[in-house]
Amino acid sequence: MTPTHPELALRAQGLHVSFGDLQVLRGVSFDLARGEGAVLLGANGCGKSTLMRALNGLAPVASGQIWLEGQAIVGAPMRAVRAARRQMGYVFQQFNLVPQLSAHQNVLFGAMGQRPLGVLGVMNAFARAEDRERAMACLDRVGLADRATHRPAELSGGQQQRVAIARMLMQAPRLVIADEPIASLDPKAGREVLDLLWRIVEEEGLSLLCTLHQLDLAQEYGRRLIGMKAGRIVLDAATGSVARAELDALYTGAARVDATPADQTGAAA
Amino acid sequence: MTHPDLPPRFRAPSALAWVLMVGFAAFFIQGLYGADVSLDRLIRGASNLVRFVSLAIPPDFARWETIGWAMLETMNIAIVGVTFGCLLSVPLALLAARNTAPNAVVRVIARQLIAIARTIPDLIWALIFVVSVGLGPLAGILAIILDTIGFAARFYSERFEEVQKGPSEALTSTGAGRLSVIAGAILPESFASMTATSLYSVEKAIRSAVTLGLVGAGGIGVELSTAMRLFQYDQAAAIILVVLVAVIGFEQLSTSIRKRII
Repeated sequence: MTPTHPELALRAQGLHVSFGDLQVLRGVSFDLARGEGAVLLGANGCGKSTLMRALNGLAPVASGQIWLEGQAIVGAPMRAVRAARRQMGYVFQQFNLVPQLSAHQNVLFGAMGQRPLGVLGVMNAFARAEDRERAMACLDRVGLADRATHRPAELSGGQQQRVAIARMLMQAPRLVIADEPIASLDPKAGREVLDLLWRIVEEEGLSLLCTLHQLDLAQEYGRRLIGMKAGRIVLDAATGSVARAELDALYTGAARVDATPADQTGAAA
Repeated sequence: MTHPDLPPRFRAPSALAWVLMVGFAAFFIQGLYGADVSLDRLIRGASNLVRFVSLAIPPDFARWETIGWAMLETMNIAIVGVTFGCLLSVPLALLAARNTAPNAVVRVIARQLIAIARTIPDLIWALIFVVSVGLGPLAGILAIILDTIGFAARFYSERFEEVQKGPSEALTSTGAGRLSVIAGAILPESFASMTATSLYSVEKAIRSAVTLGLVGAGGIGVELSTAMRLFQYDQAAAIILVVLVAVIGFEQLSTSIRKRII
């Protein structure tokens, strides 16, 4: 029996994910302690997003196992997968707010998985008074209480991402997965979102796994850096002990999972 | 000096293109021949048309009360039929769309049902329902329901498939169930387009409801076919005018509603 390690927020072991013939994850293993914040780095196409989707059960895992708070997820019944998802807040690059609904309604949806009636329990018209209040408090915490009735299109990119963070707060997770949360934002808005995300994660004592493309920001915010290359983890260390050259090496040579031998020699040259 | 790889101006059509072109031409010529088009017939037709118009003018509104009630019945058939048709289309479209269907078998069955509803024309549905539930508006309503499903369910399901994945995934990632994700993300995102489709269904249904009367399925079509058969062209003209006003009026209304939502 593999130990379940309840003291860890997250443990992934030997994860393999394939799409058709393409092997995207080729044996990924790592642990994330409770309250730990790690930044995941890697070139486009190296499998970062797939790893994050696999952790949430959005991408099918071919082999390997994931434990969230000691509970195995891969191969678990749907009910258990949903229970795991409730513990896991997800922040997306494209915010993924429902465009036709107000900021407040989008935040309320964060509690969708926790209400027995699902969507009926979190629709503004039928939601419990305390849920409506709490959604407002979450918006207030990201500094957007005055935008509660605005639709996403009426907000800037940075504001939309903050609404998405409020939705994640509403979910009250134990672990946060942020997939390139600032890749669609300008540098100033990006920094504001990162500050907010890190502050909330620290205040709530959450664990965080966040992908970033800016090495400077990664070194500034992350205490631990995990580097991926061509579907494998090739670097995992405390931020202070990693040389810049090691990080740069993540982006050269055969970094992509779909790289052909010609690409690899070309890129390495 | 021309470049050796210069593309030619024309490319010879493929064998398949030839077969299709010759086949089309043959079918077209046979069709013209079969319709027995001759100058003589066209001239006679034109003079008949002039006679019809001269008999139809001025339109006779003497039976306005009957015509009014019949038009109201037509609108009733259309509205009741479309309402049930659109309501039934939503679950059927959800079962038929790739991203919301529970599995492939259900999806194929739902698609086939929608295809059957669409392929059989509304007049034939009306004939079938006149046989099964008898003459009158109920047969018309049932025919409109089926006709609306064939149209609306198809467009709804295409719209569901076009919905961006992100918001649904975000809700799935909170641990929400499938139905909640559909109601929370996919339906709101499709709402504007579904409303437009539904309004268009009403326009279409009013037009069909007029003709359904011709086979006895209730509404103003019954009056129209009677007037035509009795050569009361002035009464027929009055009925056609009422239909025109009703259809154009509703089209204006639905256009202005559509503009507001989209």
